[in-house]
Amino acid sequence: MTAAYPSSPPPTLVSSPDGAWLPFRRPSPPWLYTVGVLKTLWSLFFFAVVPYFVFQLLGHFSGSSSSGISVHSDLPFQALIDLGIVLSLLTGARHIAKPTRWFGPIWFFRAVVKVGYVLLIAWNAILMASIGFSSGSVSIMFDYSGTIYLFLIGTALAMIAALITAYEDVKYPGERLPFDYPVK
Amino acid sequence: MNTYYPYGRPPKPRLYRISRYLRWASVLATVLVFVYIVLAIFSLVVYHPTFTFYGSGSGGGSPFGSCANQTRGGSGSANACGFNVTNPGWFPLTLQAAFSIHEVNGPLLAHGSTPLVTIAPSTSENVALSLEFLALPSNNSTYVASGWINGSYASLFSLTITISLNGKFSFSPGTPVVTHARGGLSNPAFVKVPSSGPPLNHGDQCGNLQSPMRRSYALSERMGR
Repeated sequence: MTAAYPSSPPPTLVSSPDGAWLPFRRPSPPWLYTVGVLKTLWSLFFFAVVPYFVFQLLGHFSGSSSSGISVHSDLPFQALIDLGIVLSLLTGARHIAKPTRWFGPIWFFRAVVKVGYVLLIAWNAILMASIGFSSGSVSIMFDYSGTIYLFLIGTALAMIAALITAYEDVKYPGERLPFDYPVK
Repeated sequence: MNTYYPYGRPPKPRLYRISRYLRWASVLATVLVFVYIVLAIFSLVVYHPTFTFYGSGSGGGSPFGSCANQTRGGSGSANACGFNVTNPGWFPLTLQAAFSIHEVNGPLLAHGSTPLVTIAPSTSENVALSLEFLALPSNNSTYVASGWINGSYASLFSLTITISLNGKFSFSPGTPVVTHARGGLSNPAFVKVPSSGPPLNHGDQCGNLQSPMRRSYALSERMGR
């Protein structure tokens, strides 16, 4: 039999609701931590590094540049990066905690932080640009909040799923483990 | 205890299934949102809306040009000038525009606006431009023309462009032409100002300027004498 995960411990049995004993193979801690760290790094790139570079890019155009074009965003980048780091850490923690009953609560907390992250962008989703010339000026305001709000749909669904999982782990401890970590 | 499973494996618990379906729905919703945004951007870039000015008067090509030389009350009705918007894209486009011209440290000379219009995908629509001229400019006066246009596409993006232009009126009024000579103090007259002047000369409601005139064009007063 091939092990599902590298150097995984031997299968464990857990009682299912219909009284059967189902086997599952808990992933080894090194494997859990490795994937957890990788997920954290990926999330960190997406939720913190990208906003940081956007902030740096906008910094080149803010104020009066030599080209006469000025670009300004209302986004609170520092808060966004901080929240992105928290979100990334929670993403890794969620993966590491998946075999435990902390999975649901961490997942739910991550979803709450993600809602905050999305709302922080949506409430400040305005990009302004102004071009000045000798006989006048043109200012452009780009509002993309409608786009950002749409991402709340997926996050809200994930939040409900997390609540159900947290409840399941309290009501039927270990019930989901044979399905999350089946013995192959 | 041995339990018989008809499909060779135990059925997934109910809560587990609900949670998993919700998670799939969450991922699917996020993917669909991405697809929707990408389609909207693609549609906007490839099939971008086009604008052409229309008006029954001569000198088309600009809203003022096409509105020039129209007669008030005749062809210069509410829809006499404006612009035609074609939306060949896949998503609705909502538009509204307004503008004003005022003298620096002086009166508001003119203003205009369009109604809030939604142009359905793959259609085109005439957007009427309502113009109102309130006063004539003084010669050698400085004016500020401000334009504002707001458009939103697919209910996702909204773009607001504000244009502010400074200029100077410099023209010789010449001899006003009386087109409706019912002079007198209580009977306002209609005058036509040469259309070679600044945009304001092109008239009220896409037509001629209406008295009672202010400043040096108080023709009705002169005719009453």
